[in-house]
Amino acid sequence: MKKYVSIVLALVLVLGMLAGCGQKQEEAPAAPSTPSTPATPSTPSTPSEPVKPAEPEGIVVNGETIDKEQYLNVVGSDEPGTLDEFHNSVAATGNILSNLFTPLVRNMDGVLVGDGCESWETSEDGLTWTFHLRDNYWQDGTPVTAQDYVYSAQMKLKPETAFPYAGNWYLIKNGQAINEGKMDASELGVTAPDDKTVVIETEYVVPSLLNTLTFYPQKQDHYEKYGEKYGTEADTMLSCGPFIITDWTHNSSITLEKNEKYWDAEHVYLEKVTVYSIAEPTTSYNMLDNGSVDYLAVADNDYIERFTAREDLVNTRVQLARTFMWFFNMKDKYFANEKIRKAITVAFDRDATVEVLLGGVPIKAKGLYTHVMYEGDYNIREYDGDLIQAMVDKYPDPAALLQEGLNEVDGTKAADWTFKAGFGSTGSKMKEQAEYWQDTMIKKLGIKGVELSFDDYAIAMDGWQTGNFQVACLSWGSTADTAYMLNLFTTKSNAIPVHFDNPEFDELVNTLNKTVDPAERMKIVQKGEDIIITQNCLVCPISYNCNNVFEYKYVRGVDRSPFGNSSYKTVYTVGRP
Amino acid sequence: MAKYIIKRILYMFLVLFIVVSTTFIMIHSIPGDPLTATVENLPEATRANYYARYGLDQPLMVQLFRFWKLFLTEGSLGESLKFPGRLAEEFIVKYAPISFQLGIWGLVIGVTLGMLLGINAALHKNKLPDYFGTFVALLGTCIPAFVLAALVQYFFTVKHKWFPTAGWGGAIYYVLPVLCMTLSPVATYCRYMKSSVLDVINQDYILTAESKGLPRGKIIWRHVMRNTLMPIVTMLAPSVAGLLGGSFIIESMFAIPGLGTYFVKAINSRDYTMVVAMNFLFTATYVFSLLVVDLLYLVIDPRVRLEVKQNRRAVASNVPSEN
Repeated sequence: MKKYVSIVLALVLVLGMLAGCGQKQEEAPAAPSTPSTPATPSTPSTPSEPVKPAEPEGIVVNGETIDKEQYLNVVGSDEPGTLDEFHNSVAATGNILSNLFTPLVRNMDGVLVGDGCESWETSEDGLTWTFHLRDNYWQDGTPVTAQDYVYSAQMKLKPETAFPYAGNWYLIKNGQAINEGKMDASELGVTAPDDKTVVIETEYVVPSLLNTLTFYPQKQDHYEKYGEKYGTEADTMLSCGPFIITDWTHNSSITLEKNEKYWDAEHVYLEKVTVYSIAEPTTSYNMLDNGSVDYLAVADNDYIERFTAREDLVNTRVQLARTFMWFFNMKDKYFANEKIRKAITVAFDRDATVEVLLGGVPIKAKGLYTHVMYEGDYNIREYDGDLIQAMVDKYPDPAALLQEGLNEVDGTKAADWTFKAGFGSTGSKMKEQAEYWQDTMIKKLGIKGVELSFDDYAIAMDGWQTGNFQVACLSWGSTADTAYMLNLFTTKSNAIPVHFDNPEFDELVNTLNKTVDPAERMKIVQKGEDIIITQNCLVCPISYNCNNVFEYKYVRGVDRSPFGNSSYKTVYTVGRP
Repeated sequence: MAKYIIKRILYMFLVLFIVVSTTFIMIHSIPGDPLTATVENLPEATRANYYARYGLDQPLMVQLFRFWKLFLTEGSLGESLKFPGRLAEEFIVKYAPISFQLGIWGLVIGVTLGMLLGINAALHKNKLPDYFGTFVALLGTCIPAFVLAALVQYFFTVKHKWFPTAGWGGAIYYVLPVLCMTLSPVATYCRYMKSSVLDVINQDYILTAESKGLPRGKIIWRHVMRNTLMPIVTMLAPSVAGLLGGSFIIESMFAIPGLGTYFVKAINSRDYTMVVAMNFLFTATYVFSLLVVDLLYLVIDPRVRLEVKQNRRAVASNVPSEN
C-alpha cells in the first residue's frame, strides 16, 4: 500500500517539476531583453515612424513609390463556414471568394469593371445581358470558359444543392421554378452560346443586376472531384482570381498569395494577405493598436476615441446599405392603427440614439432607403428627401396623435397603455439601447410603459414571423437592386413580418419590375417609399449602418464598395514602417 | 473489483446515451434554424431544400434514431451545418488536442502551484504565506477569465509588445493563454488544499506522529499529504472535463483554433450536429474522468477499498437470505 501512495506522490511531484520546467521554457521569450519575437505577421511593429524616402528602383503607383515588400494583415470578422460558394451561409466567406475568383464584373470602389468579361451589353427591354469573356486561366492552367459561369449559376438554384441564398437568385429567369423543383436546371436564364459568351436573362428588369448578384465561375470537374469536401480546406480550392489560398488554419487565419496566372496580375501588388479569423472584438482592437493588422472596422465607443487620437491612423466611415429599424405588426389590434404607428415613429429619439448610444458612427435615418442606393444616376435618398423629418414636422405632438389613435381603437387612455417591443439580441448593448428607448417613449408619449423582451435572434425572428409581437427591432441589409426593399413589403413576402396586404402596392412593385427608364423607375421607387413610410408607416427607421474603419496611413487602395464583392486586388502600401 | 469496474463502465455508457439524446431533442426544439440568423431573403422552397439536404425535414425521433444509427454503424457524428462538408468528429480529432494541450498545461501548472501555495498557507497560518495564498485565491476567484485575458492581452501585446496578440503557432503563442488559464485552478486548489491541510494537521494521528518524534518533513509528506489528496482528486474530474469548455473565452480572445470556440458558435448558429457532437465529447470526457477518479480513490484511500470489499461480502451474504 505504501508503495502505491509513494508512486502516486512521486508522480505528482515529477509532473509538478516537469510543469515547472515547461513553464520556464515557455516564458523564456517573454523576457523584455529579447528584442524580436518570431517573425510572424502578428509581430507588433512600431507605429508612427516617418515615411521612408522612396527607393529609386521601386514600382510607382499613382505617383508614389510603393514598398518593396507588399503584404497585408486584416481581420475577417468570422471564420468562413466553407469556401464552397454553394453551401456557405456566412458573410465572411464572400470576402475571401472575391479574391479567389473572377466575377463577371467587379465593383471596384463603386465603379463596375469587367473582370471575368471584357465588355457587356444590355438588351433594349432590359431583360437580357450579354457578357464577352476575356482570356483568363484557372490555377491549373486551363482556360476559364463561359460554361464555368453557367455551371455555377445552375448549381446555386438546383434544389439538391440547397444553396441558402437561392432566394436572391430568383430574379434570374426560371430561377424560382428551378429552385422549387418544377423545372430542370438547364432551363435557367444563364446560358453559354459559345466558350467566350455568357447570356443572362432576368425575370424582371433589374438595372442594378451586376451589383445585386455576383457571378463567379466554377470548374465542374474540379468541383465534382472533391464533392462534399470542396471548400473545406485550402488545398481543395482552385482559383482564377487575383489571389490563391495557400493556408487555412481554421478559426485562426487564412493566407492568400498573389496568383501569377491572373489576367491582371501586373496590377496586383500584394504578394501575401493574412486574414485573421477573430471573433472577439477586443482582440482585434488590440491587434490594430499594436500594428498586427493594417485596418479594421471599430464599433466600440472607447476604442473609437482611442484610435481617433492616434496620428498614424486614418478614420473613414464606410456607409452600408443596411437600415436599422423598428417594425410594426399590422395584425395587432393597436398597431393596425396608422396613428399609433406614426406617433411612435415621431416620438422616437433618433438624434440621441445615433450620437450617444451608437457613438455617432451610423447615420440618422431619413426613410427606408440608405444614402448608398441609386436608381440609375438618381440617389434615392436625395431624390426622396427626409421623410422622417417631414413626419415629425407634420405631427408636432406625438402624444396627442397617439391618444387619437387609441380612441379610434378602444378608447384606452395613453397613461394606461403599454406596448411590447421585441429585440433579437441578448447583448448588453441592445439592452442599453432598448431601455433608453423605453424611457423616451414613456416620457414623450405619456404612456404607462414599454415591455421589453430579448431573445437570441433565431428565436425572436421565429416568433415575429408567426405574428406574435407588437413592435420589433432589426437591421436589414439591401442588395443594390432598388426593388429588393420594396419586395419585402409585398403581400406574399414574410421577410420583415409587418403583414402588410395592399394590392395597390403589389401592383406598383410589378410595374417597377417592367420599367427600364431610370427616371420612370425613380418615380415608382419614390411612390413605394411614400406608401411604406409616409402613408402607412410600416416601419420606424432609426439609422443607416456604417463601418467605422481605422486604417494605418501607409495603406492605399482599400475598396469601400457598400455592395459585397470587395477584394484586396487594388491594395498596396507606401512607407510601411 | 473487476465487477465494480465493469458496472461503472456500463453506467458510463447509459449516462452518455441519456445525456446526448436529451441534448439532441432539446437543441432541435429551440425555435429558429441554422438559416434564420444568417439568411435574410429566404423563400419557402429554399428552406425546404436545405431541410431536405440535412435531413431536418424528418420527425425528431427519426432524426434521433438516424443519429445513433450513424454513430453505431459508421462511428460518425454527422455533417456540420455551419461548416458544410466537414464531419463533426473531424473537428474533435483535429481541434480537441489543441484545447487539451492548452488545458493540461493550465491545469498542471495551476494545480501544482495551487497545492504548494495551499500547503504553505496552512502550515504558516495567519502569517505572510497564508495572507498571500488567500490573496491569490481571492483574485483567482473574483477575476473572470475574459477580464484577465483582456488585461493580459493589453499589457503584454499592446503596452509592451512582447507577445503576438493572437494566432497559433510556436511555443510563444502558448504563454499568454496558459497564463490566463492558470489563475483559476491556482485559486481553487490553493483554497481547498489549505482547508484540507488544516483539517488534517489537527487530527490525533498527526499529534501521535509528532509525539513519537517524526521529523516535520516526514509528517507532512507521509501523513498530511496523503490524507489531503482525497478532496483534491475528487475535484480533478470536473476540472479535466472543464478543460475543453472552460477555455472557450480564452480561445476566442487569442484566436486559438481549439474546440471551445466551435461549441459557443455552434449554439448561436443552431449548428445542431456540432452542438450534439460537442456535448457528446464533454459528457464522455466527464464520465470517463469520474471513473478514473473513482479508481484513483481505490488506490489512494484504503477505506474505500475496504468499503468495496465489505459491500461485496454483504451482497454475497444477502443474496441467499433473500431467496
